[in-house]
Amino acid sequence: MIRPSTKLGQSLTLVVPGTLDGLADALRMAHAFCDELDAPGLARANVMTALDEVLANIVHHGLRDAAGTIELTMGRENGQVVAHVADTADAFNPLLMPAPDTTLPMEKRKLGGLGIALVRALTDEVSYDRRDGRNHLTLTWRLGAEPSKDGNAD
Amino acid sequence: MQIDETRQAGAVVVAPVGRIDSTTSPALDAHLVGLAKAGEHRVVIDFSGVDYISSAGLRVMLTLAKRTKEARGKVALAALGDSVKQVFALAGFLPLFAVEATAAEATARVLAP
Repeated sequence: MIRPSTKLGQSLTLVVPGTLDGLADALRMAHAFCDELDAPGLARANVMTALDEVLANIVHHGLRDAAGTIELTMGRENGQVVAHVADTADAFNPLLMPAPDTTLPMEKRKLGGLGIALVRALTDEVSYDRRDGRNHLTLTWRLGAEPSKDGNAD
Repeated sequence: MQIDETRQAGAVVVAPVGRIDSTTSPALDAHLVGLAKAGEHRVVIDFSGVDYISSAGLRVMLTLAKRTKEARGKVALAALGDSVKQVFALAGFLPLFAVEATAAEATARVLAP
């Protein structure tokens, strides 16, 4: 049922159904992609955490039980990792969600909006666009922001 | 997901392995609910084998804390790596939990009267 077109290496493109299984497949491929990047551990964790937030948001809130697809494209260029996520759910800009109050005591904590707040914090840039009947979210991480283990260029 | 578990003098140390994200969090939550049902309310979460945690995992931790508090038990977290600690900090979760460097220290914390 799932026919991801994948090209491991410096870029990755994959289309999955907007289901929990599709989400799991997308994360698995993203993880494999990150492994090949040889990125610092924290950068890799930031990429994976942000992607989980974005994809889970689409599956749980965007598509819910409706049939739809998610396209994930990842690439590395000029010391940046860029992930592009396009989904067929109704128009929704997650970047307009209000940030949660992270200072409340435990009993009053609400977790809505926390995921997208993490996405903002864990990426260097994130932008939203609605076109072709799809939501497009582009996430960017600058690998140079962290010390690399050696000075080799790509 | 792989979840290791050890028991020590009335406390249970739960050590999830790998990533705690939206795909693995339901299994961790079910595991912790099972412990609560078995009457285990002194719980340590050992993060030494955890690569990263997303908000799905934070939700599991918050429910655990609330459930344990209602049962007059204790929760402590141990061995948070850089990425896990960063996410807890960004979410404002660090003040909500007892956090220790090692599972042994966290165990002592939940066993304290």
